[in-house]
Amino acid sequence: MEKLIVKVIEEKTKCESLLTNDPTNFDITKYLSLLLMEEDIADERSATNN
Amino acid sequence: MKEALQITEVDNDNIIVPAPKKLAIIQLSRLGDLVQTCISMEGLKTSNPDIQTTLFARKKFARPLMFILKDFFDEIILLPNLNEAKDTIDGHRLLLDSLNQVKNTTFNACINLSYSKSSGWLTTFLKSNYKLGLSYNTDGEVIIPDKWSQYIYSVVMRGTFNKINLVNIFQKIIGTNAEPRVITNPNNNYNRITINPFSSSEKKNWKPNKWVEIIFKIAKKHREKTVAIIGGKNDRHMAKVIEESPILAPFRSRINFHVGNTLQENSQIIKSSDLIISHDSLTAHMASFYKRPNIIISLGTVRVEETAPFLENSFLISPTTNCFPCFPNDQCSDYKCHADVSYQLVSEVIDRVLNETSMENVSFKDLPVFLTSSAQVFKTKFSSEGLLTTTSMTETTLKAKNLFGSLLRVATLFLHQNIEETIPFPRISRELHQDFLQTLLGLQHLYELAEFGKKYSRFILEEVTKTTPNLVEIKSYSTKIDEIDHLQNLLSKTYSLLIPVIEIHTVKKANLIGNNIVELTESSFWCYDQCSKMCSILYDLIENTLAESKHNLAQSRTPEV
Repeated sequence: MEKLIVKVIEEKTKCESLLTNDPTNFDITKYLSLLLMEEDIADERSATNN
Repeated sequence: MKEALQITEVDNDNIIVPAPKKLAIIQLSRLGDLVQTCISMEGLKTSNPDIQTTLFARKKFARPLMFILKDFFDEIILLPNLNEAKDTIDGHRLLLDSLNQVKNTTFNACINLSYSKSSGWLTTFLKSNYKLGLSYNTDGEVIIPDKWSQYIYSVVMRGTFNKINLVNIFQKIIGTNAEPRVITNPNNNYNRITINPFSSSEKKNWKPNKWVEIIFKIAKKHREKTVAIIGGKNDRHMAKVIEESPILAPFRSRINFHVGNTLQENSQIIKSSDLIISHDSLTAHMASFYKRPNIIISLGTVRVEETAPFLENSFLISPTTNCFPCFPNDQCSDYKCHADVSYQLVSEVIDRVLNETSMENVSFKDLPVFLTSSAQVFKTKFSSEGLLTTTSMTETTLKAKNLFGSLLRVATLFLHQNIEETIPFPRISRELHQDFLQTLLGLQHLYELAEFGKKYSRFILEEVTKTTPNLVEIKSYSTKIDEIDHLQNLLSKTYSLLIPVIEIHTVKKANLIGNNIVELTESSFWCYDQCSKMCSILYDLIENTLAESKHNLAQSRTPEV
C-alpha cells in the first residue's frame, strides 16, 4: 500500500507538470485514475482508523 | 438546429421522433450525498419524460444504494475502487474499462454535484456542450459557469456561513421544482423506534456510552415500543459495546440489533418506524427519503441548515460550542461539542416527540435552562417556495456568523431567484451590535470598490468602441480593476463576516463569460454590479436589524406609568 501511495504521488506530480508545460501530452484519464486512487486510499485509511 | 438534427431518429413508421435528451449527473461523494441527489431529482422524470439520466458514482457508495438509484437513473456508471488495483497502470486500465461505455456518448447536459478534483476532471473528460458545476479548462484552471455552483464553491466549500439546504441548491442547479416534503402516514403506529448511533466519522458521533443512556431511557419509558439498532459492517465493534451494556440487559427482548445488514434491509426497517434517531449520516437522509419522523444529533463538522433532512418537522439537536461546526481537517482531542449536547436533552426531545400526536404541536419553549445552556433544538419547515428552513425552538444567544449567514441567505435568494424571504428580527446582544456596526463599514467599502469596478469596466468598453481605441488607456483601466480586486480581497482580512460575499465575487470574477475583450468587460461590469447589489441588500438588512433591536431595547427600558 505504501509503495502504491508513493507511486500515485510521483505520477500525479508528473501529470501536473505536463498539464502546465505540455498540455498536448496530458492524459486526462490517467490523471483522473490517479486522483480517484488517491481518494480511495484515503477512504480506506480513514475506515481502518475508525 | 444542427444539434436537434443530430439527436433525432427515424422509427419503423418513418415518423421522426426526437431522441431522448441525455443528462449526466456526477456525484462522486458519499452515500448521504447520493440520497440527497436522488431527493433533488424527484419529479424530474415526471415533468421531463424524454430525459435519459446517467449517474457517475463511485462503486463502493453507489452499489449498496442501487435499490434507490435505479428509480432515478436510466444508466449508472460505477467508477471502480482503485485502492484494489495492483498498481497505477492497472488502476488506469480499470477506470478506462468503466468509462468505455460512455466513450462515444455526447450528453446534452452534464452536471457535477460533487466538488472534488476528481469529479471536476471527470466532468472535463465527458463530452457535452453544456456543463454545470466544477470542471477544468485545457490549462487546468477551474471553470464554474453557473451561479448556484459558484455559490457552492465560494460559500458551502469555504466556510460555515451557508444557511441554504444542499438539496435546495442541487434542485436549483438541476432545474427541478422545489416542493415541500411532509411525513407520510403520520398516524401509522409501527411501535418501533430506529436508532443509528454511528456515522462515517468519529467527529460526528457520540461514544457508545451516551447512546446506551438514550436507549435505556426509551426502553424504560416507552414500554410498548421496540428499539431497532441499525448500522454498517464497520460499526460492529461499537455496536457490541452497546449490546453488552449491563443496564440494557433487562430490556434486551425489546432491543434488536441489525448492525451489518445491507442498506436495503435497513431501509425496510426505516420505512416502518415511528421515529428514527441518528447523527447526521446516511440514516438521516434515508429517513428524509422515506418521509419518516426523525431526530438528528448534529456534531463536529455537521452544518445543521445545510444538511438537515429535507422533510418538514424534522428535529435537529446541535451544540452551541464556539468551534462548532468545525472542518474535517481540524485537530480536536476533547470533542467539547459532543459533551455540550447532553443525553438528558436528547431524551427529553424524544419523549416530547413521541408523546405528541402531531409534530406541529411539539414545543420546547419550557425546556429547563440547564438542558439548553450549551445546545439548541431546531425544527425544519418549508417556505411557500419549497425552500427548507430550520428554526431554533429554544432560546439561544445568537452568534454573528449565524445571523450574517441568515441575512446572506435572504440576499442570495433575492439576487439569484428573485425570492423575497422574510425572517423575524432577531434579538441581538451588545457584542453582536458592535460586530454588525463594523460590518456596515466594511460593506460600505466593498460597495464603493464594486462601484469603481463598474466604472473602470465601463471606461474600457467606451474606449474599445472608439474608432481608434487607445491601448495604453485600456491597459491602465485594466490595472485599476486588478487593484480593486486586490483591495476587495484585503477587506476580508479586516471584516471577517464579509468573507463569503468577497468569495462569491472572486469566484464570479474568475468565471467571466466571453470570447473577446468587449464580452469579457461587459461580464466584468455585471459581476461588479452583482457585488454592489449584494452589498446594498446586506447593508439594508443589517441597518434595519440594528434599528429594530435599538427600538426594542428603548421600549424595554421605558418605565411603566
